[in-house]
Amino acid sequence: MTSSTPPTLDPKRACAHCKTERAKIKRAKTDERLCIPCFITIFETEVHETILANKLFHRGQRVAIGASGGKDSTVLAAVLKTLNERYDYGVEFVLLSIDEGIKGYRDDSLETVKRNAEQYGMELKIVGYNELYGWTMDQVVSQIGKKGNCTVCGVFRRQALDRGSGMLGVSHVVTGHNADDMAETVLMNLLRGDLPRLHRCTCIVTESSSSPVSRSKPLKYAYEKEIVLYAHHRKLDYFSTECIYSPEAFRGSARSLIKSLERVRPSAILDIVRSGEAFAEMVPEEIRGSACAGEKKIVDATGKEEEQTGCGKGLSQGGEMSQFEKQLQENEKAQDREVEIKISPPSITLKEKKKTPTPTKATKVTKKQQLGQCRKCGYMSSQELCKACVILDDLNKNRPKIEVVLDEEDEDASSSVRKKMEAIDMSGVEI
Amino acid sequence: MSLSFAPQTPRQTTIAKSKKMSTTTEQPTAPPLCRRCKEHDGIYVLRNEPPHCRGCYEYFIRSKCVKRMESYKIRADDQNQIPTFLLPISFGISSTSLLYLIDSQLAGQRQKVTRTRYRLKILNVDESVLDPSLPSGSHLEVVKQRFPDAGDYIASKLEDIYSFTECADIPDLEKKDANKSPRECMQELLTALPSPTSREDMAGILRTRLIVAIAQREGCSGILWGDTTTRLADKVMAEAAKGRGFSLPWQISDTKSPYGLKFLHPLRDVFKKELVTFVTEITEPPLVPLCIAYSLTPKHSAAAATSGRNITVGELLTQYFDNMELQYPSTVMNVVRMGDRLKPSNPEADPCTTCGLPADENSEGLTLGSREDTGEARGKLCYGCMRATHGAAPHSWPVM
Ligand SMILES: [Zn+2]
Ligand SMILES: [Zn+2]
Ligand SMILES: [Zn+2]
Ligand SMILES: [Zn+2]
Repeated sequence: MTSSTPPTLDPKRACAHCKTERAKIKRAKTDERLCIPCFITIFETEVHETILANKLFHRGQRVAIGASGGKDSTVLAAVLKTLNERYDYGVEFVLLSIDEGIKGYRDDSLETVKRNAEQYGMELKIVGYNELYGWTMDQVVSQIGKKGNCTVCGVFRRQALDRGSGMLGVSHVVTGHNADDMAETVLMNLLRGDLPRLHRCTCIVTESSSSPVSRSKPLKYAYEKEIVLYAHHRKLDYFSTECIYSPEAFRGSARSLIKSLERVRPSAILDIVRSGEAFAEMVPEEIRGSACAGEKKIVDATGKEEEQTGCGKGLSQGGEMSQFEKQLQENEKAQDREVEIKISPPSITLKEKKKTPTPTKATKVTKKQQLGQCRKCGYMSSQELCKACVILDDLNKNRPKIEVVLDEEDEDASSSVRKKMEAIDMSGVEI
Repeated sequence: MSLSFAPQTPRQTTIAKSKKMSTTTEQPTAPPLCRRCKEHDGIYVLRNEPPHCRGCYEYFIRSKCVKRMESYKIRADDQNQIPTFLLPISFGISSTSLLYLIDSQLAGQRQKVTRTRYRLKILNVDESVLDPSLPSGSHLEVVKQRFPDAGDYIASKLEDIYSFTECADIPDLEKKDANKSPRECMQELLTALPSPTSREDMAGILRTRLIVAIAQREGCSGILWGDTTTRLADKVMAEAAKGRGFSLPWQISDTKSPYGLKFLHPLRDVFKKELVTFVTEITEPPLVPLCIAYSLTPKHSAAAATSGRNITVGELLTQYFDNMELQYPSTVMNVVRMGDRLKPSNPEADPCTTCGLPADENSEGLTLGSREDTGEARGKLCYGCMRATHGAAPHSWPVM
């Protein structure tokens, strides 16, 4: 006892919270120096405060934790179990995992999820792309190449989470997105000039008219570094390999920028989240698109969704940024000549810049669409076929090109740029 | 990673290699004709267009600035009084170029209509208190010799802000010690701040507030800032990264600022790299000797930028956009356009006691409300100012 708290402990070295133990870590948010037990408590308390402030759960509710086996969702499950017991939330937490079918990545991480389910005594449901769609991501990649596969994965994942939630009988899924993810998304949307997404990317709860399931991010204010620290000190069992397929280039650029900013000023991540929350209120109403949960919704059938593309981990390619740049330049030229823009602009910004109030055809059509059901699979869709079925159709026909035209609201970070460049080159079919 | 911080081609020259431009002619060495006048040799690449001659390049830059100035509809008031604008000059390439362009616009107006539509005052704020290696205010004389008719020249120092401070109505903000010189007070204030980024951030706020105070004293109705597209994009990200996202409309838009003056950015349609070419190769004689704050080599190596050592958030983002501009200029422009569309969410809010801007409403401490804030209350601070001064040694802040 006395060895850890010598009576002569230099106050500068003492934990700022308990003032008795020796401080072991320094927090980026506040510069406070804390001992490990105090850090664990404060970390949990902050998640609790976030849950309370946003009224994320209610007693008797059944809530799914989107579990990947990675550090974020593992820590989320552990903290929620702890808080549920400590503060008697009366919530039943279950685990929901998506098996994308990526060898060496997902099969191993699913083993971790299965162990977590046992350790935490939570029900586990795994839904596989293979069983839902008849395709694993590995097969998709061998079919279409590495380009565009994160788009496919994002479309598939979103629907798989909804379907898995249906199987589990839950209408609320919590995901492990942390402060670093939030900051990265804010910067990415700034780089892409994407105001509708800037409006909603920091929402803690997102609901979409095209999904029966609401999603929330209780770790929104938690630093990735603290999540790792928490997992380490609580000796949590998690899988640390990241997805082998590449994210979108803008996300990659935003990510490396975030890392540099964090090195310069560790608080930068939270500062960007704060700015992102301010931006949400600053986007003019008419271009907000969908609203945060709790806000009055602008009902439109286009199915807003903030989902990230695929897993968003791994290395990036620069091709998409060049595509985006090229598209912007074409738009500028078109504006210079004052001719009607035929190509869909990469961001709403440009569309509304035009003097003529005639929106591009695509926008007009989407606004009028009613939310219906996919003719094939019955999933909510504003089109005759849902996006997953469109992709599947093309995959199954083995046509040389996939022409999924993603609309503005297709939020998997495929970026609106892709709208025009959706011709995914399948000439390089391996096998 | 396609967009590293490494400036592979730092400040790459925009003179086209004549060999690459030879497709239209038989002789591989002859440059093509200027795209605009089709008379002179086109040797300066502009945007994505074929190269221009020197005269047409200048016309391009000038017209970007003039078009913006025209859009501000600067006119005499009902009593036929013409407005005065303040042009703060830092001896960098942007503000120096702006002075050059405005000076010749005014000269043109004097010739054509005998009277100008507005009056100009030129201000330099000497910031050597921050870093002795920064350019001294004495350089203003050299600038004045080059543009003697542009308007009145005003020399000032950052620590002059103390002569504008009024008695604070916030008790825990100490007033400056009567026994110390303003320079000593300013040095103490800046060294009390916890990090180089905080110092840079707060010095920027003090600079803006001093410029505004002088503009008001001089009866100016607005300020002409030198910011280029590149610099404005950099500000969008830098302010976001410092937790000051709420203040963006007043930082990058051409608008009336909460300080009561118009903030205008006539060079907002020009890229920084274009001004580098402009000051070094286009203007006659070159403007670059006047731009003593401009350095051809980046302040920090790519390695320093990546390691984050000894660099500030502002410097990091400046380098990021200087590089991005070379490869993705339209993306940079798009960032500014997007930022320009953001509207203040609560312009009526009480101003932050430090930066003077309507503070973001739901600032809930340094942990964003996820925990009781430990920070001591020091007047009403916006999140950005709270962050910049968090952990600072006790210091006195000039209250305006
Ligand atoms: Zn402690
Ligand atoms: Zn379907
Ligand atoms: Zn010419
Ligand atoms: Zn402030």
